[in-house]
Amino acid sequence: MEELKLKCVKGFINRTQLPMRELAARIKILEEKIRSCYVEPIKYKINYFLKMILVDSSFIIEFLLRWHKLEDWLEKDPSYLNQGCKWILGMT
Amino acid sequence: MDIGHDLMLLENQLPFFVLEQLYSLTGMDDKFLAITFNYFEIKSLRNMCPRESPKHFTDLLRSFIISPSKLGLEKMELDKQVKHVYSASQLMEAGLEFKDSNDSLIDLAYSKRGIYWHMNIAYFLHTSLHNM
Repeated sequence: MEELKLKCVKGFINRTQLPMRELAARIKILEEKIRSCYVEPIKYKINYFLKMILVDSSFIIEFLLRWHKLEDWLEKDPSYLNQGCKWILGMT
Repeated sequence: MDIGHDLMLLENQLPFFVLEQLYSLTGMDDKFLAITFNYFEIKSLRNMCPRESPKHFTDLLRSFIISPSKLGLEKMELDKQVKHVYSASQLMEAGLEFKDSNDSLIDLAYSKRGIYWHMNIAYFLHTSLHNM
């Protein structure tokens, strides 16, 4: 999981062609709006919290994008299918 | 490992607008909602891609489940009371038979032959509906 997460986060940064500080700045702009989504006060230091949001969001976006173009990704990385198996397999 | 299941858990939710904003930086043409739908869609439930962005993935699942229903739950007023009906076991005791249907997960159909209900959801029910 951690390996896939790292691959996806790197993949996302590559895709945007933006430096990490620029991505962090984009999240920082949304800080108030993000805070208002959580009922309980955020227990982490805000910069750490925003960094977690950035890493998790980057992972999720890249993960879903690779699934969206699955055939292309299976050529590049055949292990992707096992790592990212579709949720509730067999229910679709 | 089931990433999809982890993404659906209530405690793991990220605001959807954050994902959309970051996604816009990739310069891709497809809408992020469509990409999300492609992954989470459950064909056997005949989900429809929602028109509006959800609050988060758990909310998306809720909208998937009510979207094929004929009950119009999307427009239901929040303060409307839900009338409690007899439980499935009470109905079975009374002699009604349950039959599998391909309709929406929440719509029941009643006929002389019994109650039609989408029954192919045992796994789905426990892990996902509980979380909602």
